[in-house]
Amino acid sequence: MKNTVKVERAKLNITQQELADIIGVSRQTINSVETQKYIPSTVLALKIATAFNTTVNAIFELEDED
Amino acid sequence: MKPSLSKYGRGLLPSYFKIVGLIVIILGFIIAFCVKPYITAGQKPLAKTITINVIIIGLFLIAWTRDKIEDEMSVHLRFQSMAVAFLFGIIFCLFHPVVSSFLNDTDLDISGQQLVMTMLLFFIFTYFLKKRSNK
Repeated sequence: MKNTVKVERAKLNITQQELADIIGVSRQTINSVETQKYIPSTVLALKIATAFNTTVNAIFELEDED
Repeated sequence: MKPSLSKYGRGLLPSYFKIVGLIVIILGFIIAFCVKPYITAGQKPLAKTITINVIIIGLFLIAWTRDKIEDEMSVHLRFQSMAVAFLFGIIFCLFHPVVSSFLNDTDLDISGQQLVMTMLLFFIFTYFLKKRSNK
Protein backbone atom coordinates (compact mmCIF):
# COMPACT_ATOMS: atom_id res chain seq x y z
CA MET A 1 0.00 0.00 0.00
CA LYS A 2 1.44 3.33 -1.08
CA ASN A 3 1.09 6.44 1.02
CA THR A 4 1.88 10.12 0.83
CA VAL A 5 2.58 10.69 4.52
CA LYS A 6 6.05 12.03 3.82
CA VAL A 7 4.73 14.48 1.22
CA GLU A 8 1.90 15.65 3.48
CA ARG A 9 4.35 16.06 6.34
CA ALA A 10 6.66 18.10 4.13
CA LYS A 11 3.73 20.33 3.15
CA LEU A 12 3.05 21.08 6.81
CA ASN A 13 6.80 21.36 7.45
CA ILE A 14 6.75 19.12 10.50
CA THR A 15 9.22 16.43 11.57
CA GLN A 16 8.47 12.75 12.09
CA GLN A 17 8.73 13.32 15.84
CA GLU A 18 6.24 16.19 15.74
CA LEU A 19 3.76 14.12 13.74
CA ALA A 20 4.31 11.19 16.12
CA ASP A 21 3.57 13.47 19.09
CA ILE A 22 0.37 14.74 17.46
CA ILE A 23 -0.89 11.22 16.72
CA GLY A 24 0.42 9.62 19.91
CA VAL A 25 2.74 7.00 18.47
CA SER A 26 6.51 6.58 18.38
CA ARG A 27 8.71 8.21 15.75
CA GLN A 28 9.74 4.72 14.58
CA THR A 29 6.11 3.97 13.73
CA ILE A 30 5.85 7.08 11.55
CA ASN A 31 9.14 6.18 9.87
CA SER A 32 7.93 2.62 9.23
CA VAL A 33 4.67 3.88 7.74
CA GLU A 34 6.52 6.35 5.50
CA THR A 35 8.95 3.71 4.26
CA GLN A 36 6.05 1.27 3.78
CA LYS A 37 7.56 -1.28 6.16
CA TYR A 38 4.42 -1.18 8.24
CA ILE A 39 0.81 -0.89 7.12
CA PRO A 40 -1.12 1.04 9.78
CA SER A 41 -4.43 -0.05 11.24
CA THR A 42 -7.64 1.75 10.30
CA VAL A 43 -7.48 3.70 13.56
CA LEU A 44 -3.94 4.91 12.92
CA ALA A 45 -4.71 5.67 9.27
CA LEU A 46 -7.67 7.79 10.39
CA LYS A 47 -5.52 9.57 12.96
CA ILE A 48 -2.88 10.32 10.31
CA ALA A 49 -5.54 11.62 7.92
CA THR A 50 -7.08 13.78 10.65
CA ALA A 51 -3.66 15.21 11.52
CA PHE A 52 -3.28 16.29 7.88
CA ASN A 53 -6.89 17.48 7.75
CA THR A 54 -7.70 15.18 4.84
CA THR A 55 -9.21 11.76 4.14
CA VAL A 56 -7.61 8.32 4.41
CA ASN A 57 -8.10 7.72 0.68
CA ALA A 58 -6.16 10.87 -0.11
CA ILE A 59 -3.13 9.54 1.77
CA PHE A 60 -3.26 5.77 1.35
CA GLU A 61 -3.60 4.05 -1.98
CA LEU A 62 -3.91 0.35 -2.74
CA GLU A 63 -1.38 -1.26 -5.08
CA ASP A 64 -1.93 -4.17 -7.49
CA GLU A 65 -0.50 -6.77 -5.11
CA ASP A 66 -2.76 -5.65 -2.21
CA MET B 1 -5.24 13.90 19.53
CA LYS B 2 -4.37 12.46 22.90
CA PRO B 3 -1.97 9.51 22.81
CA SER B 4 -3.71 6.31 23.81
CA LEU B 5 -0.56 4.69 25.15
CA SER B 6 -2.22 2.83 28.01
CA LYS B 7 -4.43 0.92 25.56
CA TYR B 8 -1.48 -0.90 23.98
CA GLY B 9 0.64 -1.24 27.10
CA ARG B 10 -2.16 -2.85 29.07
CA GLY B 11 -1.03 -5.98 30.88
CA LEU B 12 2.65 -5.13 30.51
CA LEU B 13 4.98 -3.87 33.23
CA PRO B 14 6.14 -0.23 33.32
CA SER B 15 9.22 0.54 31.21
CA TYR B 16 11.59 0.84 34.21
CA PHE B 17 11.19 -2.90 34.79
CA LYS B 18 13.70 -3.41 31.95
CA ILE B 19 16.38 -2.12 34.30
CA VAL B 20 14.95 -4.20 37.18
CA GLY B 21 15.17 -7.30 34.95
CA LEU B 22 18.75 -6.49 34.01
CA ILE B 23 19.67 -6.02 37.69
CA VAL B 24 18.02 -9.37 38.56
CA ILE B 25 20.08 -11.15 35.84
CA ILE B 26 23.34 -9.51 36.97
CA LEU B 27 22.55 -10.30 40.63
CA GLY B 28 21.83 -13.91 39.63
CA PHE B 29 25.27 -14.22 38.05
CA ILE B 30 27.02 -12.42 40.93
CA ILE B 31 25.32 -14.54 43.62
CA ALA B 32 26.06 -17.76 41.68
CA PHE B 33 29.71 -16.72 41.35
CA CYS B 34 30.02 -15.76 45.05
CA VAL B 35 28.26 -18.88 46.37
CA LYS B 36 30.14 -21.31 44.10
CA PRO B 37 33.13 -21.96 46.45
CA TYR B 38 30.84 -22.70 49.42
CA ILE B 39 28.45 -25.24 47.90
CA THR B 40 28.97 -28.97 48.09
CA ALA B 41 28.68 -31.37 45.15
CA GLY B 42 25.23 -32.45 46.37
CA GLN B 43 23.95 -28.87 46.43
CA LYS B 44 25.21 -28.11 42.93
CA PRO B 45 22.04 -29.12 41.00
CA LEU B 46 19.87 -27.04 43.33
CA ALA B 47 22.20 -24.02 43.04
CA LYS B 48 22.18 -24.38 39.24
CA THR B 49 18.37 -24.54 39.17
CA ILE B 50 18.04 -21.47 41.40
CA THR B 51 20.53 -19.49 39.28
CA ILE B 52 18.75 -20.38 36.02
CA ASN B 53 15.38 -19.53 37.58
CA VAL B 54 16.66 -16.12 38.66
CA ILE B 55 17.97 -15.49 35.13
CA ILE B 56 14.61 -16.59 33.67
CA ILE B 57 12.80 -14.16 36.00
CA GLY B 58 15.13 -11.37 34.85
CA LEU B 59 14.61 -12.21 31.18
CA PHE B 60 10.87 -12.42 31.70
CA LEU B 61 10.82 -8.98 33.34
CA ILE B 62 12.68 -7.53 30.34
CA ALA B 63 10.39 -9.31 27.85
CA TRP B 64 7.19 -8.34 29.67
CA THR B 65 8.01 -4.65 29.93
CA ARG B 66 6.38 -2.07 27.70
CA ASP B 67 8.32 0.48 25.71
CA LYS B 68 8.35 4.13 26.66
CA ILE B 69 5.92 4.71 23.81
CA GLU B 70 3.91 1.57 23.31
CA ASP B 71 1.79 1.75 20.17
CA GLU B 72 0.22 -0.61 17.65
CA MET B 73 3.51 -1.22 15.87
CA SER B 74 5.13 -2.29 19.16
CA VAL B 75 2.33 -4.83 19.61
CA HIS B 76 2.82 -5.98 16.00
CA LEU B 77 6.57 -6.41 16.50
CA ARG B 78 5.96 -8.18 19.81
CA PHE B 79 3.73 -10.75 18.11
CA GLN B 80 6.25 -11.23 15.30
CA SER B 81 9.04 -11.74 17.82
CA MET B 82 6.90 -14.22 19.78
CA ALA B 83 6.31 -16.19 16.58
CA VAL B 84 10.05 -16.24 15.84
CA ALA B 85 10.83 -17.32 19.43
CA PHE B 86 8.19 -20.07 19.25
CA LEU B 87 9.57 -21.32 15.94
CA PHE B 88 13.11 -21.29 17.28
CA GLY B 89 11.89 -23.17 20.39
CA ILE B 90 10.56 -25.95 18.17
CA ILE B 91 13.75 -26.07 16.09
CA PHE B 92 15.80 -26.10 19.30
CA CYS B 93 13.73 -29.03 20.64
CA LEU B 94 14.13 -31.00 17.43
CA PHE B 95 17.81 -30.39 16.83
CA HIS B 96 19.16 -30.41 20.39
CA PRO B 97 19.32 -34.24 20.63
CA VAL B 98 21.04 -34.43 17.22
CA VAL B 99 23.66 -31.84 18.17
CA SER B 100 24.10 -33.44 21.62
CA SER B 101 24.72 -36.88 20.10
CA PHE B 102 27.30 -35.41 17.72
CA LEU B 103 29.05 -33.83 20.70
CA ASN B 104 28.91 -37.19 22.56
CA ASP B 105 26.70 -35.62 25.24
CA THR B 106 24.84 -38.31 27.20
CA ASP B 107 21.96 -35.97 28.11
CA LEU B 108 19.82 -35.84 24.97
CA ASP B 109 16.74 -34.30 26.62
CA ILE B 110 16.27 -30.60 27.13
CA SER B 111 14.75 -29.22 30.28
CA GLY B 112 11.85 -26.80 30.42
CA GLN B 113 14.21 -24.20 31.85
CA GLN B 114 16.55 -24.48 28.87
CA LEU B 115 13.66 -24.14 26.45
CA VAL B 116 12.05 -21.19 28.24
CA MET B 117 15.38 -19.39 28.57
CA THR B 118 16.20 -19.91 24.89
CA MET B 119 12.75 -18.70 23.81
CA LEU B 120 12.93 -15.64 26.07
CA LEU B 121 16.40 -14.79 24.79
CA PHE B 122 15.25 -15.17 21.21
CA PHE B 123 12.15 -13.09 21.83
CA ILE B 124 14.14 -10.22 23.39
CA PHE B 125 16.84 -10.38 20.72
CA THR B 126 14.35 -10.46 17.81
CA TYR B 127 12.24 -7.65 19.27
CA PHE B 128 15.33 -5.51 19.81
CA LEU B 129 16.56 -6.13 16.25
CA LYS B 130 13.13 -5.40 14.75
CA LYS B 131 12.87 -2.17 16.73
CA ARG B 132 16.37 -1.17 15.62
CA SER B 133 15.61 -1.87 11.97
CA ASN B 134 12.71 0.60 12.10
CA LYS B 135 14.77 3.53 13.39
